[in-house]
Amino acid sequence: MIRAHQPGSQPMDIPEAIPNPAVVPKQAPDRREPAPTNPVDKPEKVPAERG
Amino acid sequence: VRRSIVVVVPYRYSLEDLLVLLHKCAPTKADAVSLRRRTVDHGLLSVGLKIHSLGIPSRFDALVEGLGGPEKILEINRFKQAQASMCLVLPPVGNARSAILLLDAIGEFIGPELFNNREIQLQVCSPGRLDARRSALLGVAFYLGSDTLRRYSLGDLATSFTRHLFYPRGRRLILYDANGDFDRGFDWWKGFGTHRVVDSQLPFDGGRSDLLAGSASRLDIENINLVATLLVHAQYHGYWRDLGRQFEAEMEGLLDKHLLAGLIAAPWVRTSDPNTHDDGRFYSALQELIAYAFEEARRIKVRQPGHLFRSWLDIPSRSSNGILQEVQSLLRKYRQELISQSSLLDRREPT
Repeated sequence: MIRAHQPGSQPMDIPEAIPNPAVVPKQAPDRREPAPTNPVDKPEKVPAERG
Repeated sequence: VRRSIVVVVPYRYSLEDLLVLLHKCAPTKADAVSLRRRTVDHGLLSVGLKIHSLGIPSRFDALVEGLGGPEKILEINRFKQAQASMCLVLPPVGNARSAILLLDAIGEFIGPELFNNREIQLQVCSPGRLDARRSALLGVAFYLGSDTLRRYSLGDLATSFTRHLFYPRGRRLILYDANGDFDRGFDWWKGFGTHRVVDSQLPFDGGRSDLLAGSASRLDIENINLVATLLVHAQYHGYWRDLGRQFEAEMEGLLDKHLLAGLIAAPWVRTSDPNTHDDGRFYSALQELIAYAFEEARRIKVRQPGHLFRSWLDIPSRSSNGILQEVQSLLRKYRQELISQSSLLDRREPT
């Protein structure tokens, strides 16, 4: 922030950076790494019941 | 058509070394970069990055030690932003997406995010030295297209090479390289129309146009990559030369319409031409651009919802959407055009 001040006047804050209003802000991507996926437990084949 | 030439470029550390380190904290991102590090998207240029840290250098200690220590990684590089405590040079990657992922992964490794961080100044490096006029267009397009409008002091643009004996670069937004290592091993598109030829190396032996983007965003990297590609192809007769020349003409027309055409005559880069050596001339142009952009931002804000009443001062004096919105439209249009032409080529000549 730059502070401009003339004697006898109110100090005025001049921002060093402002968002560009013409840019539609995108949501920042989640920084976290995705959790490792657990291997899917496949049910073992079982013989079909008969009768 | 693809021609293969093997190129070996020396590095003090390899990208693979860096990715092994980053894999501990950011495995998915490190793997994604590793898979696509040489992939060139749509004939866009490769992306190099320099990270200038204005904060506590110890944040990077573990990373630097892991790569071989400061003597090997930092001290051989004499170039840095004047206020920076260190400058880490990253090996170039083939596409902007990988460059962004790489910075994300480094951010996860060291702690704070590197994007939009006031203590981190990013320098985005594009292969090929743009001439003075095209450097000006790159600087103006970056500034107006960014998601942040910044006020610069000349000191923000000072580097250890500002008054270098052999490679004086002045205080500028755009800087040429100092004849250091150059990795040519990225695809270069040439030809025209439906006749696209892909060379497996860049057409220059050396030479870069770097942009001191400051506290930059992901969008900044994508925009610099797009605009540098259009301008470099226009200058070096690449595949996108016609699109690049159209972009130049539209950008110049836009500046002319806003009575800012004189900005292009200012020396946005210091070349060997003595007419480009005056930092003051460049800084006057930059200040004019900054003042215009900030005023435009204020005007757009008062037109947005929530501001029911406008004073006569706030009523736009021209019928256009304003330069900030026009530059966004221009960048969107050229990105879409480049991607759609490239996709059409891929459908015609499947690999």
